[in-house]
Amino acid sequence: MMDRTHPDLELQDLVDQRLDADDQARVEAHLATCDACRATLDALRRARAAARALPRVEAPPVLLHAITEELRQSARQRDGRQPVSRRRVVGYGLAAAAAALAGLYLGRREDLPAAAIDNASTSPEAGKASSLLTPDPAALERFFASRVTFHVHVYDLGMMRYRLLGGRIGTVRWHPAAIYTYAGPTDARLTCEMYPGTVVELPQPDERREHNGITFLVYRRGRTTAVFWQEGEVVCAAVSDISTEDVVALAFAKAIRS
Amino acid sequence: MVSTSSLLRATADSRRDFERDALPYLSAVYGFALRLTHRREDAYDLTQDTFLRAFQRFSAFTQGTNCKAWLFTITYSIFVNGYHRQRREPTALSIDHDVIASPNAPDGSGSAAARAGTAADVEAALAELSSEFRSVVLLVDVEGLSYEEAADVLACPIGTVRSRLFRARTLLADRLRAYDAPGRRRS
Repeated sequence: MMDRTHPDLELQDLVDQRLDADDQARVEAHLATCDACRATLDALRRARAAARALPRVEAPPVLLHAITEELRQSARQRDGRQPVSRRRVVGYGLAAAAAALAGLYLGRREDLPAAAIDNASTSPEAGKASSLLTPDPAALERFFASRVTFHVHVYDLGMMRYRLLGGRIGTVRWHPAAIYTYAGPTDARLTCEMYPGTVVELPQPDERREHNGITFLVYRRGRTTAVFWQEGEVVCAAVSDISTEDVVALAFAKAIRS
Repeated sequence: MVSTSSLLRATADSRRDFERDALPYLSAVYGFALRLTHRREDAYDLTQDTFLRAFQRFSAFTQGTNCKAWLFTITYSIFVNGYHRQRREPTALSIDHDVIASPNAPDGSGSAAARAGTAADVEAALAELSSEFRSVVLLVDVEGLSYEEAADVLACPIGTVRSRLFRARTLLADRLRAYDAPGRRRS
């Protein structure tokens, strides 16, 4: 047990240079005669130096990207609104900003497969600015090129008996996403989704598959399978109610061609 | 009367101010969160929660004061009120070492740091401290906050910071000494 006459906290003040000249002289005089306090001082200095020398931790780039992009997006959305009263604008601005960041809050890792599956339940609609119905992959690629900042490959899966129905702009987490749908045999639907991000954000998958050097993360939610993989700075997902093996095979086919 | 365009400009200015003042501390907040929780996914969530609240409360932030300390206050508040209660304390073995980047300048104390052990040893020793002790070391020694700023973050008197820091440093030194001892392995 430490002797109460040892100036423990003042030793720490000495380490942190928080003593005035008189107190420092008094503590140093005590140190000259006290082995225990010299040992304590050395321990404090060792711990302080070790902690101060710890390496810097870098935030994942996706965090910075997510926050800045979402704030900018919410501002752009506000700019496109009809003029409203001051109270309404301020209220909307606060709500939009809160919603924007709430997207970060709600968009937890474990929610991403669910978000992708939710997207797959909504088909592109005719007459909507955010949708395009077309069987032509090139036309759909042009549609996406004017609406998202990343390149979207839309593949002709005719060889696999899937025909393109069209696509739309949606969101996965807080990212704008390119979402397009195919109709397969017996009217089975396959939805492909692409958004800027990293698969690191995804939760533990039900299964991992490796194919041609690409890691595929497989999630099953009831009858629906979602398969995710990384293509450059974009995350891709294939979602369908067909068998898991068929979804994985289609994901392999699409990823191979990217 | 204030026009709509000027109000839109004001909200955009607020966002820019937030980005300018708060976002430079993203890595600091993430590092603090990671060393508090020692789980990458928890640190990710805690950092997001911090910036969510910070943006919502940005009008309450006093320009010209220490924004990093203000963000840490929010981080720590969320941690003690949520994460810390819901999750078990981390173990030394659960640390995500792979997120560590380049070292800080050791401020002339490199030889003392080297004697104290490797960064992995120090991370492990810190992880063994209770969150109360760990947080004060992180704030004062790792992040360089003053006692006064640390007291604000931890919502406690300066005297508590002083005594808690003394205890934390002596415990940390004990653990580092144990790592240095031949034949000893981390628990």
